[in-house]
Amino acid sequence: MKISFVLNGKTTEINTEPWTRVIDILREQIHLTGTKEGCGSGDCGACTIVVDGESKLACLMYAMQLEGRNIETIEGLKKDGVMHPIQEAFVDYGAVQCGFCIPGMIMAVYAFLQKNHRASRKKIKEAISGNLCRCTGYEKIVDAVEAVAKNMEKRKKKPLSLKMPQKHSGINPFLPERLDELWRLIDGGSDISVYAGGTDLLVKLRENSPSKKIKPICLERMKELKTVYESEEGIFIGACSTHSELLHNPKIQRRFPVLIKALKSLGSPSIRNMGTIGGNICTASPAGDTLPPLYVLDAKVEIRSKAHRRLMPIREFILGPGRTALEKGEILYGVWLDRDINFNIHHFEKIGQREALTISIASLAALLKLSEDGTVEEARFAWGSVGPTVVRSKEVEDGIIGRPFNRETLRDIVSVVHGVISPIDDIRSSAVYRKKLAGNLLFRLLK
Amino acid sequence: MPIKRYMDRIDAIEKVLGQAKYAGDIHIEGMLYGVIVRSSIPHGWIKNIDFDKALTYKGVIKILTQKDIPGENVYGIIKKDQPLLAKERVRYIGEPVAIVLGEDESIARRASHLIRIEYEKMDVVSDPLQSMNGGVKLHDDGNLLSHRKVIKGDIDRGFRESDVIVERTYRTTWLDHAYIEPEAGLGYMDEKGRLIITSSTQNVHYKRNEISRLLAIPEERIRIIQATTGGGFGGKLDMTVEGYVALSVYHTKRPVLIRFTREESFLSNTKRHPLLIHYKTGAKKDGTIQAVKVDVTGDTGAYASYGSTVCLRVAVHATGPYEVPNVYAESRMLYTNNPVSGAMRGFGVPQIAFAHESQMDIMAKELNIDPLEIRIKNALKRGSKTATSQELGTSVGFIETLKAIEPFWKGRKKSGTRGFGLGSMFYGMGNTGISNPSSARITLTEEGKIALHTGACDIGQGSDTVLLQILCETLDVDGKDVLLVRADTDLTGDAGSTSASRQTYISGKAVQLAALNLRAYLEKEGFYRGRGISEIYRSYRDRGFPPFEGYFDPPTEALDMDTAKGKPYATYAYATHMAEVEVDRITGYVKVLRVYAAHDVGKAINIKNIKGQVYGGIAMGIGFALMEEFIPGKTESLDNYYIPTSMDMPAMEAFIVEDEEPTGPFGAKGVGEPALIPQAAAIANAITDAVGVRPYELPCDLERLKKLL
Repeated sequence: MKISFVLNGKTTEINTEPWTRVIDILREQIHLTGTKEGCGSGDCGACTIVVDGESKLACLMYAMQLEGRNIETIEGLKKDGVMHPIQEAFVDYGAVQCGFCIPGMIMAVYAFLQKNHRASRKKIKEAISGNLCRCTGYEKIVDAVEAVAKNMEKRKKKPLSLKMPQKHSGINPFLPERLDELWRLIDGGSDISVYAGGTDLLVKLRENSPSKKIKPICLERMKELKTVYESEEGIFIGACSTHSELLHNPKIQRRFPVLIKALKSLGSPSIRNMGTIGGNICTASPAGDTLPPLYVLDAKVEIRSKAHRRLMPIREFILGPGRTALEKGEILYGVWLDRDINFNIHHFEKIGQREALTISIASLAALLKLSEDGTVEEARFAWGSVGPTVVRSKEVEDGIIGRPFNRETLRDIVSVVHGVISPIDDIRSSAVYRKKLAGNLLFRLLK
Repeated sequence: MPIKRYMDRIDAIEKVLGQAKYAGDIHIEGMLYGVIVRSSIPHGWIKNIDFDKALTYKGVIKILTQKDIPGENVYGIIKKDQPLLAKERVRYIGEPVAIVLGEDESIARRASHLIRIEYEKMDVVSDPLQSMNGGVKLHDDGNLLSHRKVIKGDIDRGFRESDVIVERTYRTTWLDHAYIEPEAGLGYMDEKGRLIITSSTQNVHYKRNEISRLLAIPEERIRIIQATTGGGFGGKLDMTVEGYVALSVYHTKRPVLIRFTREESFLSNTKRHPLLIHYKTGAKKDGTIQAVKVDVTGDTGAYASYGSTVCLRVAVHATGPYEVPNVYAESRMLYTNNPVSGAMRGFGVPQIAFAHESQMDIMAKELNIDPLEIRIKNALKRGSKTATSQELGTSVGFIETLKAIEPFWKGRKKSGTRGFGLGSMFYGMGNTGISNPSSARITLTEEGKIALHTGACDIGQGSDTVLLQILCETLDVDGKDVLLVRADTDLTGDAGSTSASRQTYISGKAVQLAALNLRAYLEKEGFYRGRGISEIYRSYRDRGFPPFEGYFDPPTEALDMDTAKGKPYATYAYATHMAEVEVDRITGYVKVLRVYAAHDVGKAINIKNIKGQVYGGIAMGIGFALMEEFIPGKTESLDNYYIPTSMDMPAMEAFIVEDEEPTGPFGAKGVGEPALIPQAAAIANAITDAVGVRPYELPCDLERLKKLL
C-alpha cells in the first residue's frame, strides 16, 4: 500500500504493508536510524517522534497511521546546518552520555517546548518521564531543557508551521474516517479488529507469531469518535479522545477533577498522546487508570453497530479482565457522563512503584458530598487492581451515608471494603498487600 | 593544579543529531538476521530438536546448533565453563540452543517460534544454600565456583574485646543492567576472508580471543570493532551477540546482524549477584570498631561469568572504608539453575556496602554516637591498614568526603516521616590482585594531527573525551589537533575491559606515558618552537617510526589464597552520600527528596563527566534500593522491571574531593562504580531514620516496607 506524509519537511511516499510498525519504516525502509528501539512496548521512549506537533512512540504506531501526517524525527531538527537550540543545550550542559535515549529524549522535549514556554523543573521532569535514561540520572538533561526554556521565553513565540502533505488519492481501507466506511470494513471478515490508540494492541501483536492473522483497523481518524460535547443527555466523550485531549479539555477539567487526576497518572506524555479513553475501557484491565473515575462518575458507554445504538452502565459493560459486552460488529462509540455532578470532594490516588510509567498496584477513586456539619450525604468509591474488574460497592457507600466524615467512620467501613474486594497475587504485589492498601487508601480522604 | 584542557564530550554532537551509529543501526545490503532459540526450562537434557517447520519457513537460510561450532564450544571471561550453544544439556531458562538465520528479522523471529525442543527434565537447584549441600550437581567440578577468605588479626579476640556486638543478616536480589540499548552486533567477511565484527561491547580484545577459540581460527583472521555503545554497566563485558554473529558469518559467508529485543536482553544478560550476607560487628564503647566477621553466600547461576571476581571483591571490601584490626570475611559463590550473574557496576560492592553501612548505623545507635562521627572515627586514612593488611600510602580522601557532607548532615531537620541517612564506600581501582594493564599508542598523521590509538571502550561514561583530554594536557595542544582511534583490534592495542572503574586511571595513565614519550620527541623536533606536526610527520616518516607508546599496569600484589593478605589494588576511590527521604506510612512508598554526594576522584579530569557519572549512579542506586528486582520468568521487560524515571529523581548535588593519586594520570582515579555503591545504603539508613524500621532486604519496595511498618 502507498502511504504519503511529510517527513522532516519533505513529502515522502512509501510502499509498505499497512501494519508495519512506524519504527521499522523509519529505520529499515527509510534508513533514518536516529529513532531507537529500546523496548518495543512503549516503556522506554527511545523511539519518540513528533507527529503533527505531538510526541508519539514509533514502536506503537502502524505505517498506515502516517498517512497525511507531518512527521518529525531527530534527523530533521538541524536546519540549514544549524543545530536546534535543544541539541545545542544538550551538548553544552553535558546531558549526553551513552546517547541511546537522547534522540527520543530530544524529540519529547521538542514537542513539549512548543507548547510550554514557561517550564519549571518539575514540568520538565514530567515531560520526559516517558523517556528512560540509565546513564545520567536525568539531572543535566533537565538543566539543558531548563536553559532552552528560559531562552525560548525571551524569544518571540513562533507559530508552529506545519506543512500538510497532499492527501493520498487512494483511501486507506484500514484507516476509516466515517462510520459507513467502518461498517463496510467490519462486515468484511472475521480477521478484523479495531484499535484506537494502539498502546496495548501493538504490544500484544509484537511477538510476530507465525499464526498472526489479525488485520487491525485504526479508528484515530474517526472525527465523530474524537468529539467532546454537551447535550441534554449529558457530556459526551468520543471513544477515540486521547488522554491528552481530555486532560486539556476545560469542560472535563471543570466538571470531573477525579478523571483529570487519573489521567495525569496514566503512562507518560507520549502514551497519553496516543492512548484513548475508549481504548482504556475496552482493554478492560482491572488496572486501567481511567476506570475507577468512570465507575464513580456512573459513566454510561455508548455502543454502536451498523444496525443499532445502545447505552449501558460501564460496570455492566466490563465483564472481566480483557472482557467486555461488545458483540461482533459493535464498537465502543463513546462515554456519557452526568452533567450535574455535585460533590465536594473529587479524589483519585494510584499506588505504583514509581512516579511515572507505572502500572497501578491499587487505586481508589472517590466522590463525596458532605453537609456543612461534615456528615456524609453521598459517597461513591471505586477501587482499581483489587479484583477482576474495578470494584464499587453499594454496601460500602450506603454504610457511610449519614455518618460524620472522620477516621472512626472510615475505620468502620474498612472491614466492609475487605469483604467486597478480591485481590490477587501478581508480579507487582501480593493480594495481602493490596487488601491492606484498599482499606488504607480511604484515610487519604481525610486530608 | 586543575586540568587546563577542558573538553566537551567529543561524541555528543553526533549523538544529539541522531547520527551516531550503534551496532543495530548498521545496514549492509544482503545481510541476514539472526535470532537465538533459547531453553524454556531451567535444567534438563535435550532429547530432540525438531527444526523441520522452521527450516522450510520461507526466507530461513540456515539453523545452527552446537554441532556447527568448529572449535571449542566453551567460553567464559575467567573460567571457561559456558557453552555458546547448549551441548546436550541446558542449565537455565534462556540458555541458547540454536540460531535461526533469515532474510529478515521478522522471518527469523517467526521461524524461531516453530522450533520444538524436547527435554528430559532434571531436578532443579535454585537456592545457593541448597546447591552447597550437593544433591543436584551442575558442573563436573562441583557446585562451588569460588570460596575466598580475608583474614586479619584475631577475630575471636576482637569480639572478646568489644563492648557491643551487632549481628544481622542482609539479602539482595538479581538486578538487570537495563542499558537502554539492547545488545547488538554485526559481522561480515571482508574480501580477504577475514571475519569483521562490530558490536556493542565493553572490550574488543577479549572477544577476539573467545571467537578465535570458538571458530578455531587464528586471532589475526578476526577483527573486532566497538560500535557506539548504548550503556554497559558490566553487562556487555561477557560475550553477548558476538559469538553467534561470528558463527553465523562463518557458515553463511554473508553479513549477519543480531540484535536482541528487550525481552531477549533480560533473558540473556548476566545479572547482579544476589547475596546473602551475615554480618557481625564488634566495637568499643567509644565507637572504635574492633572486629568484623562476614559470611557471604552468592548465587552465580548456571555459569561462572564474573562469579569468582565478585566473590573475592566482596570479601576484600567487606569492612567498608574503615580500619578494622580483626577481620574474618568469608565468601562463597555457588552454581544454581538460575540466570547467570556476572559483572554489574561495582562487582558485589554495592551489595556489601548496603550491609556494612547498615551495620555502622546500627552500631552508632547502640552506642549513641552520631552516624557521621562513628564513620570519621573509624575511617581509613593515610597509614591505615585495610583488611588485606595493605598499608594505604597515598590518596585516601575518605574523611574529606565525610567533611564535605558534614554541613548538610549537621543542618538536617527531621520532621514527620522524613529521614536522613549516610552511606560511605571505598572501592579498589582495577582488577583484584592481578595484572590488568592498559596500553596506548600515538601516531602523527600526514594532515598534521596527533592520533591516539586506544583499545579502551567508551560505553557512555566518557573515556573517549577524558583520554583525549589527558593527551592534550600532557602535550599542551588543543582539542582540534588530536583525533581518536578507538577500540578496534586491528588499530589499537589492548587496554583491558571498560570495567572496575579502571579506564581513566589505568588507560589514562598509559595515554599520559605515551604522550610524554611523544612530548620528548616533539620538543626535540622543535614543535614547541613553531614547527608543525605535518612537517615533523614527514621527517619522521623518512627516519622510521619511533614508538610513542605507553603502558601501565597498576602496582598490585597477588593475594594469599588462604588469608587474602596482599595488595589487591594500587589505589582506592572513596565516597560518601547523604540521602533525605520521605516515607508514606500508608503505602510503604519512599520518595527520595535530596541527595548529596562527595567523591574522592584523585583529580577531576572532566568535571561534567564526573557529575554525570555521580547523578547516574544515584539513579541506579535509587533503583537498587527501592524498585528493581529481576524475577526469572516474571520481570522480563521494561513493562515490569522498573528503573527510575525522571520523576523519581531527587534534587542532587555532587562534591568533588581531590586527593591526588601519584600513580594516576595527573593524580586521577575512577568514579564509575563508586557513584552507585553507597547510594542504596544511604537510602536504607534514611528510611530507618524516618520511620524507625530497618530494611534488611533490597529492594525495599512498597510492600516490603509496608510489612515492616
